[in-house]
Amino acid sequence: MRGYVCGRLARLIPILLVITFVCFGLMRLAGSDAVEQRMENTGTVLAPEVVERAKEELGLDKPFLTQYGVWLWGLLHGDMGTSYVSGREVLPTFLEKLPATLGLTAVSLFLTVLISIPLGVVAAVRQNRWTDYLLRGMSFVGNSLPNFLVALLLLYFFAVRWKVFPVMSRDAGLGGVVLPSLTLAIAMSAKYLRQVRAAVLEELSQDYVVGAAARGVPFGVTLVRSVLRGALVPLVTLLALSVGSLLGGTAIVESIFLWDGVGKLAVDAIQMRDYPVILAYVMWMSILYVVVNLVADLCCRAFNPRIRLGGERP
Amino acid sequence: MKQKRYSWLAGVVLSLCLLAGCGSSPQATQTATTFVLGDTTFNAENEEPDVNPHNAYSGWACIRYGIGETLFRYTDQMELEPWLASDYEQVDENTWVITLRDGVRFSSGRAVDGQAVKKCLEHLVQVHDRARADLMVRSITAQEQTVTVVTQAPNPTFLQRLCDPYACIIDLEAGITEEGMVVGTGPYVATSLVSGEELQLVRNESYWDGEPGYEAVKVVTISDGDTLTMALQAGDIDGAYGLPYASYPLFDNPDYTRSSCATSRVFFVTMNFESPVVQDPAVRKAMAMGIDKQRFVDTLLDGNGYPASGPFPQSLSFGGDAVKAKAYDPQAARDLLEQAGWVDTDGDGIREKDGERLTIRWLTYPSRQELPLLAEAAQATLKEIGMEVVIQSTADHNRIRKDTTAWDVYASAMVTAPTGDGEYFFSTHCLSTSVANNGEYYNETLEQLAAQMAQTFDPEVRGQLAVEMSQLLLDDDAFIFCSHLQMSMVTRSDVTGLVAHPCDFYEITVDLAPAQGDGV
Repeated sequence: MRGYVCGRLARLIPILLVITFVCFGLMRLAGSDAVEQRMENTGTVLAPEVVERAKEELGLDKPFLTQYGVWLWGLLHGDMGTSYVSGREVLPTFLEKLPATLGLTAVSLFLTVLISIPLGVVAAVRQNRWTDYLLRGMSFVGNSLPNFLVALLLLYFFAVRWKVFPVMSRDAGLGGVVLPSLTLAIAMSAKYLRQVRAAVLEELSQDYVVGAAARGVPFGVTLVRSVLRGALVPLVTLLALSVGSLLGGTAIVESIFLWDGVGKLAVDAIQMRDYPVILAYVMWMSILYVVVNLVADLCCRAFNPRIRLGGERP
Repeated sequence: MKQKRYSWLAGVVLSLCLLAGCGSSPQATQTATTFVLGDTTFNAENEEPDVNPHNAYSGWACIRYGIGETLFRYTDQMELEPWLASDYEQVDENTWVITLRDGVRFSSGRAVDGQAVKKCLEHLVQVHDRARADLMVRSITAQEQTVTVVTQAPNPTFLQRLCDPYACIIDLEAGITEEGMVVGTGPYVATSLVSGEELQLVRNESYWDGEPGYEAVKVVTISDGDTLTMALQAGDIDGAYGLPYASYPLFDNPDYTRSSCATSRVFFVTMNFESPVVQDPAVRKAMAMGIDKQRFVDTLLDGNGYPASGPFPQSLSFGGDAVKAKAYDPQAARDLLEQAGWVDTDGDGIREKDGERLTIRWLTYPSRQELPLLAEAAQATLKEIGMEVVIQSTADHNRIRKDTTAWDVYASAMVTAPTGDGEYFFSTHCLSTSVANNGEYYNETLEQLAAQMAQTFDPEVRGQLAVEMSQLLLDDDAFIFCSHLQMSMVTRSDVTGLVAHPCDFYEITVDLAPAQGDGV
């Protein structure tokens, strides 16, 4: 097991090298750079020598491979560079934003599980009855609504009309996390509700459920102790993917609710061609997906001991 | 049993209510003595990471939020008037003697005297590239309440440059904090700053020009326009700068006050004189007559702009109607093209001449929301006169515009008179030596007038020259100036004194106060 985990983590190194190199190349192809973006935002014209000096200071005048090499060399020495825009070191800036994203992820996942599992189970148990139709209909709507629209609707009703929550979440303490996490949870719950329903239905069609009923085991006990447990395995993998995307930040939700996380940081960096910040974000996402998927595999193994990982022997 | 079934639901509802209680309600964040302003521009992306005027464009935040003041300022008519200075004298072409106002103190308590101003300006030109190039300072000497500045060369716009936010006078003895906060002379004092998030200010108790209306001010950076709108609707903020155009109608009611004015940010089209099709004067003139500026402003900008005649807005003495632009006249444009030999021979609605289709490659960029809209508006109205417009809206425009074979016209936005003077636009965009003369435009008369302007100190004569030069550009159809940006600020009706200014420098001033009846 330890070898399997180490092997998976070791694969991160080539993944990071390839991804950062490709990302570096794509950023160049996108055109413009931090100096030109800043000039555009301020609406003024700078003398060519001022522009050139600014580019020289940031190392943007050097060839592509040299720039990548300099960045990689710095990374190997624990230096992720300095933001072209804020002038601050990238790593502390990134770490500063991370708790907000972690908090939002945790609450969103909690709400997603809280909403989707009970409703999914209800939809499965009441298959083809009005409750099922209603819940499936709601999941269609939830899936169809884009995040930004849900966010604006929640803000309009809960903040502007009823004044239950503030518009500016970042200043609002614990209460501030409700609307952004609910926004994310609504879309995810809509998706998972259907997954839970399908998984539970599959488990309910198993012979052991009929056997348990024949032996007089109450349906509720079979549902909670056996059916749900079996249904959880495919859901863990799906949830892991969601954790990955949530920890990468959700730029739109973060922007709308003034939630200062890594998603907003990344989008701002992309707009401003802030290469060191973009690369830090790309690395974070790569590490995240590898680790989260590894954890999901280990969880599945724990839920279902019949699953074998890597070269594991039965 | 039923009770049990619903108990978890009650638990969830209760938890949400408790969480709501943990948050501060909108009304709790602000009292009658605190003013909260939401602003979309106060961030590092706009080169305003802090309020230190000696750093990038942070001077804008310093002056806008009432921390710093300059030696001179602009009136509502964009005329110069002394501010921290009381008078000035130009001894010769290179020497300026500025007398400082008596009784002004920094919020640190230190008196604003010649030495303090000297130290501040010397530090400015030492660390700020743009200020160094603009001010051209050779030496500064100070004596009690006077400062004498000698420039390296005649600098007719020296006093205007001193109105630029970078020239806010700050107390360098008090220093610049790690967060980029400074001590100025303005009505409010910065107490805390989180870059890109918020700035906290308190009233300057020893302010020299009256009593500031609020005990405290908070500036919140809200980059999303919809959030800014709802924050103002919900009462989280008392005023907003940078609302989306579509949101303004929501505040056209007695609960809110809106202050607007035209700025010198103009959306304009540059003709590429290297392009064979644009070299045809009839094509340029037809384009100038074929773009419906009024409809663009009314429809696509929701009325949040002003049709432009020339490069400068009406608020400047040499702007607005001081020049005469070609009126929208599609029939005249059609006739003109017809006479020039551009005829629709194949009946597809687009004209041809010598087998060449009348196609205009329109280069622009999407980071200014108005520019793609302008391209679409032009595409529609120019098609009516038989001209095909192919739009290329790309973030890579800065590279492409350097290749004059890749485009025919280039639509962009710029602040044409950041210091209230016209020379900047001409020197950066219209002359053979201009760094942004993208279309390789050349006019001998314009070059001569520009040289004359560079040596002219009299503001009135400079204004006349600006008019003459602008008219030349229009007569040559070298540029089409489409619209000026309308800058608006909205406050709740219980706030007074947040007034839009044509130069966009001044926002929070000593006049900002609760409306009568909401006294401090």
